[in-house]
Amino acid sequence: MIAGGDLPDIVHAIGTSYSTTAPEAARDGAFVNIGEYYANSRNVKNVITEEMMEWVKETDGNNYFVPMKYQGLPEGSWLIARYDLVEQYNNGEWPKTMEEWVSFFQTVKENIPDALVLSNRLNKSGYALTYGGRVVYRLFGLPSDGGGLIWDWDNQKFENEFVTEEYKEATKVMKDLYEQGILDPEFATTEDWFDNKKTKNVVAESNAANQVLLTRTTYDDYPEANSQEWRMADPLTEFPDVVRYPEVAYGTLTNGLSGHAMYISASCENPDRAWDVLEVMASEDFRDLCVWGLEGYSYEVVDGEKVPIVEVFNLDATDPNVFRWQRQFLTIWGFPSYREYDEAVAKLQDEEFATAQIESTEAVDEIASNTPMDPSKIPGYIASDDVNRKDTEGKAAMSTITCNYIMGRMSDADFDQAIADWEAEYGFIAEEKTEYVNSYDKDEAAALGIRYTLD
Amino acid sequence: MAKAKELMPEKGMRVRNWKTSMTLTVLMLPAMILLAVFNYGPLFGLLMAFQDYSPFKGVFNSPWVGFDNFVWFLTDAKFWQVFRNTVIIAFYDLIFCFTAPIIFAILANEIRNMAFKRVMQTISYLPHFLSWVVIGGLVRSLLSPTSGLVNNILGVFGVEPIYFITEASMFRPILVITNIWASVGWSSILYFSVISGIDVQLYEAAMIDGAGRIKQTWHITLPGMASMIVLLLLLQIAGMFNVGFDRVYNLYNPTVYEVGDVISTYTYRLGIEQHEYSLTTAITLTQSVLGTILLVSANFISGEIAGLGLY
Repeated sequence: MIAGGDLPDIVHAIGTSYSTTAPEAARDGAFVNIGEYYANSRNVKNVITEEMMEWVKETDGNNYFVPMKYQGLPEGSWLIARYDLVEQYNNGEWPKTMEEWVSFFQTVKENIPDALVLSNRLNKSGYALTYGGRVVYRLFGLPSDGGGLIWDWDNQKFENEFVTEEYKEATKVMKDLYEQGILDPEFATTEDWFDNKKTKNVVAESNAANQVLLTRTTYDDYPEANSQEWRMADPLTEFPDVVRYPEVAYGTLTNGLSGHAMYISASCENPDRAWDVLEVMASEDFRDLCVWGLEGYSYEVVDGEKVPIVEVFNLDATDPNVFRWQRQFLTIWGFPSYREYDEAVAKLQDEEFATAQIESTEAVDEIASNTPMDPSKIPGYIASDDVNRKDTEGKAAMSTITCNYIMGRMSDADFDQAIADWEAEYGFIAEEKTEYVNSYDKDEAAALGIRYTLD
Repeated sequence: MAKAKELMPEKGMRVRNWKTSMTLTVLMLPAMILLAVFNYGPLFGLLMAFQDYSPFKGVFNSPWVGFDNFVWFLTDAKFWQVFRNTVIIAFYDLIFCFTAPIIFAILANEIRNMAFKRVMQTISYLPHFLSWVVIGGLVRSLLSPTSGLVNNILGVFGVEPIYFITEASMFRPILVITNIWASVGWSSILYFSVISGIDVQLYEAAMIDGAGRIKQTWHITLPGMASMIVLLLLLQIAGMFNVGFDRVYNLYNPTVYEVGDVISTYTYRLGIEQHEYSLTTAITLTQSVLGTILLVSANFISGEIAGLGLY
């Protein structure tokens, strides 16, 4: 749509559009500066604070979009794993160290020989290992999204996780697990992760705490999977020695915004009316309609409390009467707004299960909520053409090296050399961003809650 | 001039010719419009190759950068890696995928049981209608080291499972074999039609002269197919730098990027994922220029050697 240059009056940008395409288009004059609209807003200001608008200010000092508020869900990310298997093979105790996790994986494999234990969801558009493919890396204190830049708190610079000792050690463990048949023998080509997850006794994945499901998932085509209990694992009591920053191993605090943006096109004939639409979307009535639906249809009021009507919640996602789809309009209030409704429905369905699911996220939420925001959150960074052109290529290259090493096609020395060569070719990506954040006004960064050190 | 006048048809005939050509022109019109809209119209966009293009500034307002985009990719080591992969895979396609339908058509033509021949032809066309997403899934399943049919059969003979599609040395052959399977039937249709147009009396005369099946194929069938083979060969050569995106993308994986990444996947990453419209336009323009040079050269050589060509 953006490539065509022909935009509707209001544009909802997400993903790459949010991070790259839409901001570039804004700088080229594709969208209206909404600064004045925001200053005089009736509802938007009540949801999106002035501080939030500061976060999303463009380099020219203008605000071109209304961001999505993203608060009210558990913070952080960690392993979401099969608690039913933990109960069965580990006396209901979550493993407490990396070694205990590996031992647990081995126990599962011994008892269920055809289990995949750790699988992967191949990503061909960047770094290859995701979900189950990231579990071991998480046990070495690395972030949920692989292949990216991480902040070196001691040396105050960005580095790609690929060149860290943590990454090397984690990959060596991956290699061992591959040799033992614990890591999916087809991890380098597995694209049917979700099928594997439900049918092959996969044990764990790396995911955000807010992705822990509050209700049981039921599969008509594979009833054996209905007893699976995917729950957030407890934090480790101790990380491997090589891990430098265990404090931030469960993610760092977010700025309370999500990667969604609502723009008004410069080609819009009546931007005032377009803004009015955004005002409506930021109203409490609109939020309640999206979250709770209609009284008597999706909820009823009992003793002054809203109580969901479970049958409506349970409608198939493709049912035209399904109510959940309306949540997609919460692009200003934020998707976490429906947490209240979901928790209420989950407790109505199976209170014990729902409570266990919610409680499982609390420990990670507690840790992540008390970490500082790192400089990767500093707003306004625009990658140079060279970085933009080489970023995906660099991730593909590290995927090739990693997969080949895990599969035993490289010696340790070759692996080290390949990493060094990679750094020589793609290290400038981290350097450019380091230069940017270190040139940013430190007081301004501090005012936003960003810290450069862990002291 | 006088000779030209002599050659000119009578007035009545000219009117008839004009009417006939008008009818033909009208019949050609939809195809010409399609060609103009989808092939010639977009040529305007080639200007982007010399700009730092922004969709919102448009071609007229985006800044000009001369040959910067060309210099960037021509000095990029990665480009030369994907260029080499593209040429190698295209060469394999030329040798194996291009000849397979010719051989298939000749062999199928020898089948005397018409019912069997028709069923076989129909079955051979079917893979053409499958998307590469489906074909990619089928190939991965067939070659799976844990549950694939091929490894199961090899296992019977005591061979350890091979993770075929992650083996760099096997990836290109897999691409080529898969392409042959997917396209051999459909690509042979033109050859079947040419073979069916060869005068049967030529075969009868050859048989009387004592020619066997192989000699008939060599001296009658193949020469009869020659013009079609040359035509399709020239078109294949012209498209040598356009190794299909779908087939590579749906079959490759991180372990084989170094041998499988081709220009189309490279431009996909830069153009679609990184929004480098100008850079990718420069790359595809270069691809087209190289394709044109190849086509003109091959057409010239073919004309000199065999007296056959596109124009």
